[in-house]
Amino acid sequence: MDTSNYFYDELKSLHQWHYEKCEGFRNIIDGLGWSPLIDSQPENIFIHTGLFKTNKLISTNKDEREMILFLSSGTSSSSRSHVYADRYTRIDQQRALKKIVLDDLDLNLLSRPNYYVIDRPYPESNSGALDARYAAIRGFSSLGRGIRFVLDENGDLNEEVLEELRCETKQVLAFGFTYTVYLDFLKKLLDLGIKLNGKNMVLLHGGGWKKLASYGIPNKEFNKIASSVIPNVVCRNYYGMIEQTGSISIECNKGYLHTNQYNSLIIRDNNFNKKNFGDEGIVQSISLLPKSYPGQSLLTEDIGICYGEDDCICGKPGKYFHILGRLKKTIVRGCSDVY
Amino acid sequence: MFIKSSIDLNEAAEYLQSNCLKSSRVNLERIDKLVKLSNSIKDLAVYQKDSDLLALSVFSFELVEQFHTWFKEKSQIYFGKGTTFHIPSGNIPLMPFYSWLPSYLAGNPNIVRISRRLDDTYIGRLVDLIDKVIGPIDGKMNIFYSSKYSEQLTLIASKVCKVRIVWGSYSTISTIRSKYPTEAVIDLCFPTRHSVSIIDVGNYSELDNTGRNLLCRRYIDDTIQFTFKACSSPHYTYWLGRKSEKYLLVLDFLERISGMIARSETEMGVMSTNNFLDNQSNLLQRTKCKPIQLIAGKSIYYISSKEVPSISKEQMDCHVYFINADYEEEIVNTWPSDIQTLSLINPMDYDFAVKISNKLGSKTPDRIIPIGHALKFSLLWDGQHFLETLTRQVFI
Repeated sequence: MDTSNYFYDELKSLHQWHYEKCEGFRNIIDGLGWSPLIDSQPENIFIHTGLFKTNKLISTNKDEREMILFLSSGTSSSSRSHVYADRYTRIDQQRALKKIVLDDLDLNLLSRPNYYVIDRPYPESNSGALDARYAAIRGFSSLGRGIRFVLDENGDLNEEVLEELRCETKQVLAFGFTYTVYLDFLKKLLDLGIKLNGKNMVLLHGGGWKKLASYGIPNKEFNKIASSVIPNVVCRNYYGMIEQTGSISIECNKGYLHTNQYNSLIIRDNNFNKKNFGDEGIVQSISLLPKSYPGQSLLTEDIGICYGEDDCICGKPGKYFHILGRLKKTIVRGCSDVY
Repeated sequence: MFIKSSIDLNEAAEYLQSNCLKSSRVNLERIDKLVKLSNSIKDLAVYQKDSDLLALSVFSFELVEQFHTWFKEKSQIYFGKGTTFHIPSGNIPLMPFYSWLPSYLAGNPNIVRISRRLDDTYIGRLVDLIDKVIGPIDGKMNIFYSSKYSEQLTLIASKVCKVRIVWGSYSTISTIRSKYPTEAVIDLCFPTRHSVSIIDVGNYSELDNTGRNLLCRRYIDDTIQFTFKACSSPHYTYWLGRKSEKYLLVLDFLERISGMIARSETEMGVMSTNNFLDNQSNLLQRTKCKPIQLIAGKSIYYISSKEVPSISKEQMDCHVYFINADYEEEIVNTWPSDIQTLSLINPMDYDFAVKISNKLGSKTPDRIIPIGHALKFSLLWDGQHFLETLTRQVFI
């Protein structure tokens, strides 16, 4: 095993929990003949993230109304993941997020930094479901004080809030989705010739890298523009998914994403065998947080490289990795419907 | 020419009706144009690094070659049968062109419906290329349409065509037949079907290491990287014969395949993750017996021939079945219905092919081919000879 025994013991218990509580998960494990692996090789048990798009996977008897439904980004209901988080799972997620951010970023959470969101104000859903975007904004809000949206409803810079940000003397936590931060914030500031003081600012961004990649902007380029517009800013990317809210991996100062005590990552080949450090492959993401739904070990459609464990030059422990992109959704030739 | 969504319904309808023009005599002129077109598609494929386009150009070259073979044996005069209306499946990006090419070669004017699921711009670029090569006169007689008035245009095209070709599942075909009646002389349908492979365990055991690897590589090719998405992919694989080490030989075969899949390029991983999602979605509903292996996200089940009739279509689409058959009779007695292609170990034992088809009688599939040839284009598809079907012969 390549991660601590404690981590895998926790994973075993989590698998066992979901095996007992979630019929769908149990059917999959039994159907694949994987139940003996729960004890012997818990890291080799995983389900496809896409299952949350078409199925209601719940591992608790609680009333659905007591849970919050998280919806991943997507255009139609069928293309969005439906994740049911109960109160306990949400508390664990919130605690983990706080701990990860505290450990990874130089933030003083005691005096709580002022919280700025580089996005437009987001309306709350009437259905009670929480969109991934809004869930993330809300999730990080507990780390800071207040919530100020840097963009207005039209996606333009909100001059009033921008002025506040310019004049900040306290520590600032700024959060946004990578492409929004780049297109609607950094690029606009660059065009307008506005510079911000980043001395007390941590800029955390994630998600939306697919869209950014379509503009041909690599992470390094992003960081370069960020530090030219906001000199001295601590700019960090993170990797996470709605199915594993809370257990995010944050980029270190050497540009690698790191796992932590709540999560892990395994790179697999096309036959789902584990790959060696340094090899490119399909990302399996593990989180110790999901309790009300079986999202603890997921096969994603992301491609990544894991370079090693506990020996990153930044000195931070954990596995360190890069996400290279997503498997292309090629249409497999075959015989199917006309419409 | 390409009728896009922006075109008004009346204008589009006029184009379609004016398309009922004369068909051409089958001659070598269209072949020359097709050679040019194949080359242009190939260039575009290389430039855009597009494997789908490359596959289309290969298909087009093969079509030309097979047309030559067919045509040089003919002393009679052939004409196209008339306006041919194509309704291709929507999940294959270039399917409209696979359907159109043989019909164009057969001298027919064509109307091709483009599914709304396909990318207009991508299709449009290729239609522009076709127009450029075949010229304005032919261009007007070969109409591709993707329109918000698709329903109305499909009704019109179904009325004016002489031949209609529909690709899709049985339910799709039945919906089209009831929604869009046609007076076409031929209403040709290519439904989704399944295929079988028979591996003689004796022959397999005699293959050396290289031979076994080659067979496995060809098997993977037939299955399209283990997705089994083509009608001609071997959805059922019978292991025929009696040998004490038979199960070990099956495992040897699977071991080689899983190694090849594992070593394939990362981008091919999308096939495995899609397979895995389908597999797990199916398993969510009910538990099944333990698979012998998981390869490229598909569960492999080794079952007795008696279990074949109980396999549902959904299971067939999500899993892979290796079937133990000691005797040929077991295969014959459990032969699934409506099988399109039978593939046999390569080099193919022709005597066995004849023997098994004699035993299967009317259940004999449309093609018996060596493993590795399942996806190879043939003018003969689902028992229909494209050029014979899409042309009329003049008796002098």
